[in-house]
Amino acid sequence: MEASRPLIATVKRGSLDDGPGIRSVVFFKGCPLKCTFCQNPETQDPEPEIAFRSEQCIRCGSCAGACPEGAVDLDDSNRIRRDRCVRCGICAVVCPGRALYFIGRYYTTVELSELLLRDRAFYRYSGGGVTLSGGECTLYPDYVESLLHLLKVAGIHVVLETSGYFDYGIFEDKILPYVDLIYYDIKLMDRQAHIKHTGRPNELILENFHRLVSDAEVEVHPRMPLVPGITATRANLSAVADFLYKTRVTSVSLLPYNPAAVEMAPCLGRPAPKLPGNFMKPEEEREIYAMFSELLEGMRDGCLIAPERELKETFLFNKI
Amino acid sequence: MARVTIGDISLKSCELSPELKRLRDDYFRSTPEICVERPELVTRYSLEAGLFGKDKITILEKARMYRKTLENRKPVVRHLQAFEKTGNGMRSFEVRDSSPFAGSTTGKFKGVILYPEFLALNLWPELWTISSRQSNPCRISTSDVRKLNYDIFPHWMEANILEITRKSHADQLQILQQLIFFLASKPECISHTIPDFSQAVGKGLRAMIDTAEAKKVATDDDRKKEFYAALQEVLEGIIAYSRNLADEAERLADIETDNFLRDELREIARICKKVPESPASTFREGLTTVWVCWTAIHLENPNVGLSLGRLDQILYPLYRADIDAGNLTVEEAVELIGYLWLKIGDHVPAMPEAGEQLFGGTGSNQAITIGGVNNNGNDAVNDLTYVMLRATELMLLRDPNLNARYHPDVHPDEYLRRLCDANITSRATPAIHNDRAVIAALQSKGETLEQARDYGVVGCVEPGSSGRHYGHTAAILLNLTSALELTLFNGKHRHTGLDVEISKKTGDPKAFSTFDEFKQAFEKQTRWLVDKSTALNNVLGKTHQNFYPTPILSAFFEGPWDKGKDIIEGGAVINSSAAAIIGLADVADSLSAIHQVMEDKVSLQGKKITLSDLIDAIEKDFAGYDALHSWLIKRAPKYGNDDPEADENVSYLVGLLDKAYGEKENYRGGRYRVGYWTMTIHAGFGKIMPAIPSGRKVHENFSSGITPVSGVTPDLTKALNSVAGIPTGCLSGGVALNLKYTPDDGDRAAMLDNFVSYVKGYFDDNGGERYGGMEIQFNITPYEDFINAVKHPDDYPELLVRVSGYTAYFRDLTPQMQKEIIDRTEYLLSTGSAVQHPPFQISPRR
Repeated sequence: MEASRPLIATVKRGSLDDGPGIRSVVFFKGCPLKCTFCQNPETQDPEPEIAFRSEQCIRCGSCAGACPEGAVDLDDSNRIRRDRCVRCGICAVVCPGRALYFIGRYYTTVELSELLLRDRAFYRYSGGGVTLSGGECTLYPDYVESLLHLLKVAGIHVVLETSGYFDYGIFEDKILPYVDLIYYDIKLMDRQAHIKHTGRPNELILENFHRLVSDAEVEVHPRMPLVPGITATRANLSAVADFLYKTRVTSVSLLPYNPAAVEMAPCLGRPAPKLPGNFMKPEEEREIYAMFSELLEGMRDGCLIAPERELKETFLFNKI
Repeated sequence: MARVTIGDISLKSCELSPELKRLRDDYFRSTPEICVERPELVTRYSLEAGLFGKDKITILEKARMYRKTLENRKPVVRHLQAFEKTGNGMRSFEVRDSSPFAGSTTGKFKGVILYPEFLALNLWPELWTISSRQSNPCRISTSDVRKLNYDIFPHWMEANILEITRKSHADQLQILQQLIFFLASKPECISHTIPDFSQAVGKGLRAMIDTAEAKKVATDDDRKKEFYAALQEVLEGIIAYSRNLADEAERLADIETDNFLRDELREIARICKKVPESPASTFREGLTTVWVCWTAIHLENPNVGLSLGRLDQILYPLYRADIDAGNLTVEEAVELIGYLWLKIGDHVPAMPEAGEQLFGGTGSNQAITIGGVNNNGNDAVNDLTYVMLRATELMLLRDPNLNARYHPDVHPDEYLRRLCDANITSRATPAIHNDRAVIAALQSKGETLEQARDYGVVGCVEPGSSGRHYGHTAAILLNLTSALELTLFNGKHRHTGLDVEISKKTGDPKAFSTFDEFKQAFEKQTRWLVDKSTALNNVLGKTHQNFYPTPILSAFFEGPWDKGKDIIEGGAVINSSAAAIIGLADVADSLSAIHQVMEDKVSLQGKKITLSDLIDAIEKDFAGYDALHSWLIKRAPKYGNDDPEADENVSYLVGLLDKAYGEKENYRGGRYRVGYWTMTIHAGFGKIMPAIPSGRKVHENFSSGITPVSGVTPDLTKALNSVAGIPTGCLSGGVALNLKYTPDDGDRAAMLDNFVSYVKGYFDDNGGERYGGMEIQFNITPYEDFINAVKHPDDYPELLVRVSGYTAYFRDLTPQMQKEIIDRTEYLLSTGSAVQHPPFQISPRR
């Protein structure tokens, strides 16, 4: 059974940023896309991983002594020689400061739902619930179906965060019936650029979006991560605006750039992507918002800008 | 009948009048002044009556002394001057007193009351320096120093509660004086209770005197006759004091040239002539009755945690009648309450330099309770509830300490939302109590449903049935980390030296092979502390019974009138005592760590960590044990993360303490209860305790109240679940959960949505699995404000904070306590996640 069970990278409790109200967010491990700018690079690989945060390390040497593969090198700033590492996790078990830590844990759906239901009082009073994020949970339709069934029996509101890269038939059959709200990432409109920066073409994503918006009864909310020089270009913003306009959605959120990828990649023993190491400045954000609304203005007769929260600017299209 | 009739419950349109604002400014400007009036009069009449050196003082002797004191107190209608701190000493300034309430607890604008029967003599060596000391100086005049030195204090050297007790029980006092095991507060006070004002307001003192007469005549029991006679004496004294106030107001009116002020003085005179002798028939008269009786109660009972109870319930009928008759507006009611709050804060406790370390910054902790349910379980929130909230928000005073009762099954959301909103505005008040959980906790101690539903908050956070529960909720302040210490060092304590046997030997823990063995030893050491602390409290209680009968408080209580018995003798309806526990989370986390180690689960640097290693590590304050220390902080299970393994140790501890204390009987025939609130002493004990197995190093603060250790609970919902899951029945002495929020400067409505949801989730019963959290209190101040307030204290004179229980001015706290507040886990209201700040470094102050 273990084989069909996905690894969970982490369960974040009490989140106010991943849908309405107070929520628990399940980060699945494994994603068909390999976006260079991914905010959660530790969720891309479906296999367990070991991360290293040097600032937590007290150089006690417990890890080096424990590693059966001789893959820990105290003189290496990344600590682990990934070519030798078999990801057994013993080094993380003995690390006293969580400088080395293991990412990926199996839960049965019953275990996971019990954990998620611990906060149900907070969901109830805040209009919150559970958000499935990742990684890409649609990689595991049977598991997700079983989990969502348990959550729905308990009356929990479910949000799905997805890259849109899934088999629509299976998704529609197993997952869609349980979901209350979908946050759907639209990243790049240019096919080649999409392949370059995410590892996959974008047709399936755009098609699925279309189908969801036109066929499904569930609320679908597109979101676009702003990555300087990659997604946050005038050409891409313009194409996105055009695409969204044609699909007749009424709103979109632009998510300000998060440099987590740059920080996290070295912790996982990967080269850091060539991306800015800082968050956007407020004026940069405003510039992009201005550009985007200008593009919308040019397209049609005006749009409404309604900021949801400081960190998320949502543009509401006029209903046509 | 709709009890909430005001349209806008925020009462935002009500502001303070310029006169009240000015008086409030004067209040903040003023420094406390030591007042010798009470000790002088009490000493004089004790001498006259020959009370010094007696083996026992009767209640009638005490009552006569109080009557004389009340008759001879200076009636203060208008304060004229106060003192303020300057660069080089103190200087006086004119007070512009416009209060509609006459009378005062001392002769000073902001007075320090001295009770030489208790610990006032601790100030003796400091009288010449107290006005210039660094922390919280108090002014005293040279002539008053002389009076205390020569005419007052010498008489009390052998006649105070502590020294009287020492004569017969010196051995039992030894452990107290080591200060590291527990504190017993009876040498300082009992207080900690809520009087019953309903008779005074509704019938008046004259009718009470008549009742006492009838009861005196009806009984054949001489002791009862004496008791009722004593009640008559003190009630006559209070009436006399009020008449003196009326005369003084008349005198001032006669010389007043301003028409408006003269009319106001005549009105004060009229009211003071009428009440509290006769029933109050207006809202203002009702408030005056409460206030005048309150000053008298303080004449007898030290100003430590004495609390006023459910004033919005007691005074509501008068308020309603005045409003309905058009004699009062809501604005005027807010103003009257604002003035009353200032009066209530007119005194502060006497604090010697040494006490500053443990209790620095404390006020008198006079709790007032609003809202909740009535005796039928229905919503008791009324217009006056909101009037008191608004006045509190506008006045922003340390005293009174406002507590709001909220019942999740009864109250509308808008009420809770208003309480949360007041917290954002005031930064620290009111504390919010969960009626469902508190009532269940009180019922588990044998109180009837009606008694439990009528609880009010005492002192910091302790629930007590209003006017009928004499509970001494702070009788014992137990340092639970000392129980752990005695276990780890086989009956010895590093603070008192490992060559000194303190308690009994429970075995060398290094030889224990299972965690259960360790727990058995810990249990024995805990019970030893419980035995010692309750035995000492009972001995001290006996001294109170023999030397400090309490006729005044007994007169304002339910029970003594029927039983014909002083409350100190068990005259109240409910007669418990209670211990407050310091270090719950620290000990729980230590037990979790020890458990892991003893189950061979900890391997570092290729070596299994044993309990011997852990003990050696704490003896060395973790020097050379970096890996182990890191493991303890980052990896060991911690209470407050919704982790059943860690939380189980908390449930174990509260269960053990509730059982061990609950088995003990006190000197009044009641049982002991246990609470988890710590005022400022978790910082005080922290400062003197060595390292412990949780990873906490020497001198570091302990966690406050029932709150998890700071910095180890990154997720708010998990922390709240952990606390809400603790068995409520074991927490009947009250709890303080401290939550620190970073306010957002953005959308207040969105912030309130989250705020309300967190409180409701914490109070939720999870479908009947639990009662939900009992209490929650907040600090909502930006981090930078705290940092700036440390650097520039004088720029933040009014910065109000919650310590663990009561409210205090941040400026008045010790550096250690300021650090404790700054280092508390801080959650962003907009995201619910913890904000990381580096540990605050205390720097030596000017």
